[in-house]
Amino acid sequence: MKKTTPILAALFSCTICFSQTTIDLKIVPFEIENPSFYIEKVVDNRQENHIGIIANNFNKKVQLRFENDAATTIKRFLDSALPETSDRLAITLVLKNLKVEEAQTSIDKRTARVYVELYFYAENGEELYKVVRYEDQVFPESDITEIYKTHEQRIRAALEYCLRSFINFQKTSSTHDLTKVDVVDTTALYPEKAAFENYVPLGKWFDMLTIKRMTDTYNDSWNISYTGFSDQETDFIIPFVIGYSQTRAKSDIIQERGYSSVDSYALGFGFNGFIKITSGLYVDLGINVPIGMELLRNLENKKSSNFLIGISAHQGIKIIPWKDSGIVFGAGVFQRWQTSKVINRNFGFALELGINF
Amino acid sequence: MKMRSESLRTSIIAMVITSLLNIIVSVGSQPNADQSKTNMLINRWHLNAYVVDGESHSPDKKEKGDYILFKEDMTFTSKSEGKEEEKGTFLLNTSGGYVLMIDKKGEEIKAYIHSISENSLVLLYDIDEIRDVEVHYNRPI
Repeated sequence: MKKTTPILAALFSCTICFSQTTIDLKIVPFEIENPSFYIEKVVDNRQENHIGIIANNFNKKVQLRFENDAATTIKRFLDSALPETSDRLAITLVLKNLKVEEAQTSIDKRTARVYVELYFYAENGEELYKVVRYEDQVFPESDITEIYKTHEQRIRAALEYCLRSFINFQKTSSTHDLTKVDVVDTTALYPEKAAFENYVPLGKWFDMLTIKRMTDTYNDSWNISYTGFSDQETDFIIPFVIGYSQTRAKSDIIQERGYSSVDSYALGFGFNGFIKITSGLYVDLGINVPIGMELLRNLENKKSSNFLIGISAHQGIKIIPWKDSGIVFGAGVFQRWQTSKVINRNFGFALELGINF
Repeated sequence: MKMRSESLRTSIIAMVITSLLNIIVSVGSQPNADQSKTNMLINRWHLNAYVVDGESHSPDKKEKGDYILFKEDMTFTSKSEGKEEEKGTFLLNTSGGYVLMIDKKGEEIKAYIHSISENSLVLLYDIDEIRDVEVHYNRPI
């Protein structure tokens, strides 16, 4: 027992580790017209050693790192565009953030992103410029191999953007002409902590399959639906929703209207909106258009059908306690208008239970 | 047999020299390739066609006369769907293979350069609705 405990502990601890994969930046020079500076030093001021958790060619999550350290890799790449010459001024680059990400961002698209936060310092330690860049590229959802293959290119593109942005800034701002920087004595050149507040990561994609039970004065209904959405911290989330619902009218009401039974079958298309309150808690607002068929049987047992189309709205909350996979809860109220021969307008309550995966 | 082995050796040496020359030429020409790409882009490009899944479509009537003019001072002027000219700055990102157009409001439009030659420019705009549409431009004659 004593021996098995550490073995089990080791096995469980391995489940939260990722295997690693490394990349190097290709030395593909890009042309900078009449550069006035070169990169003397790159300082890696990031909090983490790796640059992201990504899916490899086999769609397995791996930790991505540079083959060499980030500072050496970036300097080597930038040196190819800005070689050192005696007439050029020395610039120190401080890398405060570099992240490689990817996530499904719509029902059929996946976004790959490189986020870079770079600071430019003069020889005397003065901060000349800072720039952040989100280098996004959208791919078909299944294009995992192409996404994996092109992370390296997006890092280069983000770095090139930062450099060109600095050059444009130099051109437009005479006060930041490198030759006019006063020499000052600064000991603490670089900020200790990276400013992450502006960084907005790509939202995680949620797939949900839920069953909803709805009740109102005239009907008992249920609905099964698939919902897919990309989680956002601040924006209004517009998920993709497709569902199927079935409604049975309560017998005393339908008998008053001259029918013995009424069944309706409908497919619902529409878009819901989620507003994220906190992690795992969303306000759920939606408008849907149910289209289907109403099958009626009158008191003489004669069957008839009726084309059903309508509009429904709902307001509620959705609770998703576990991010990766788990149970989903929901509750809310709804309003519906449809071309029913029995009930046109309706108001009710709904309870929802399902899974996210 | 000796003749054959000598000719084989000569062929190998020739191949090695050719490969080395190719490497030297390709490494040496990279910045020039960049330069020529920038030079080629700096031009007036007229909207010619849209290509979707290999099928070419003519622009709409209201798009007649649409163009993009990339200038040497890294500014651009464009006319889209016959609407008045838009102006802004642009940035050619060689590593990413795209041109980034930034209008006066600071809004960015990224367009991947699918292909470029002296007389033809094919862009793929990074816009959801038209991401898979090749937008073909040509130079006025």
